[in-house]
Amino acid sequence: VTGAADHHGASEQLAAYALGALPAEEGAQLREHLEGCRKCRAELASLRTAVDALPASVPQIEPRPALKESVMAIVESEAALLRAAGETADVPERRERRRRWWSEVSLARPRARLAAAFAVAAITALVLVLPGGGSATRTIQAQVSGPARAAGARVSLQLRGSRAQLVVNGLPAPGANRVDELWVKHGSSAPLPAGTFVVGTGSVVVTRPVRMGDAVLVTVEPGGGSSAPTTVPFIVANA
Amino acid sequence: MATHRRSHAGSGEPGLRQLGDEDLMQLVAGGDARAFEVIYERHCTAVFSLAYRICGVRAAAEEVAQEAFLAIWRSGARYDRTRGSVRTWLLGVVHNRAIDSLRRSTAHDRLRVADEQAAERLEAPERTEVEVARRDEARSMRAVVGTLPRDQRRVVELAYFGGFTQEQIAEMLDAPLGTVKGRMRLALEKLRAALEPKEAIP
Repeated sequence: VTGAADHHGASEQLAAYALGALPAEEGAQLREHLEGCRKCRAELASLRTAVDALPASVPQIEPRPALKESVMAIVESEAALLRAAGETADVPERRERRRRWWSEVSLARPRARLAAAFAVAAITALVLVLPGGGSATRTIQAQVSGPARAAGARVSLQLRGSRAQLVVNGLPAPGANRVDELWVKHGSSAPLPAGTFVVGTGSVVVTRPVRMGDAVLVTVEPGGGSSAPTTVPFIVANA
Repeated sequence: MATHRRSHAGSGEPGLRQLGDEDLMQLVAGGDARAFEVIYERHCTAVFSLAYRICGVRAAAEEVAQEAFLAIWRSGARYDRTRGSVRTWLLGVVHNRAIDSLRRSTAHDRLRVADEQAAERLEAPERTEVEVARRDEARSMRAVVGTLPRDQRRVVELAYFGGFTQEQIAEMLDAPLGTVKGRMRLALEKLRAALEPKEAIP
């Protein structure tokens, strides 16, 4: 049962909430109150009609055609992957290998080898550059192949100069006492560790500079990370 | 779901263009890139304009617009038509992402952007009837916002376009928190009242 004082306090927060101006904790508290308070829900819905109209008040500016090209290139490639995924639904679990894979698998022609070694859930290598301004962020779609847990993941690399971050979406945790580890591979030299992470959705900073032609890789490693990869990378992004 | 028939014709396909956003979103949920393209074309100006108004920088606005469109493409199945129009949903996503992007920048940048009105000069040329209608809508909405007392307009702009919390706004304006809350509420109530008799653009 919600007291009148609680209701009054919540009601006072509604406008700020509708405008997105409540800090996270206060927003969570208000949502709790809203669940049990029909009056506040109705008031919020009514205030939201005003907020929803605010975008219509801004000067209307057409985006450049390059934006559409960039968005549609990703959409087309993912639509193609969806069609392909419909045909090979079940992805078997990858077996870990502990050989120095980088000495035997050339990153320049990874597709045939990776495809042979694992069921490839999704391969797309797409470099998209939004033109305009030297400091623009470059977004590179990463290739994601087995294990099965990565099948639904979407991963891209964002580059601004030599600073990079990996943007991960829908990647389940690697399991108990395991981490995902980032590597930067320059030419034919061994990959250098560039941070570990356990994140389902979010962005991860690559702790080493990434230059044109480098590859950013992700492997599963024992908790704490490794100094050299002990498994085959399942995420590859070629900068 | 894999049996859904997809159209591979060019973007000029008249069949899809005649569909409403809600029906297009059902096709998008099934992975139809052509249906998504129609959604893109219909809303890209509104999306970019909002992102630009908040970010104040073209490169950042393009990034936000791209992220928002891709989020819509990837989560098409989550669109719930009982909770508002596709446009409102899409602009909500843009708003969240633009504010996130803004909050990563410095407070100084954010203030500058929240105050910026210079974007007016960059307005796109009018092309179609719908765009003319949207432009008129934007003008009349700006006029409506312009009728708010300055104090009320300012708190709405700082919150919605500047991404500041009510506490931050109170501090910036050196006003009691209760006053800021009151101004936000009055502003939204006035806007809502001003909107009621208006007819929506299809």
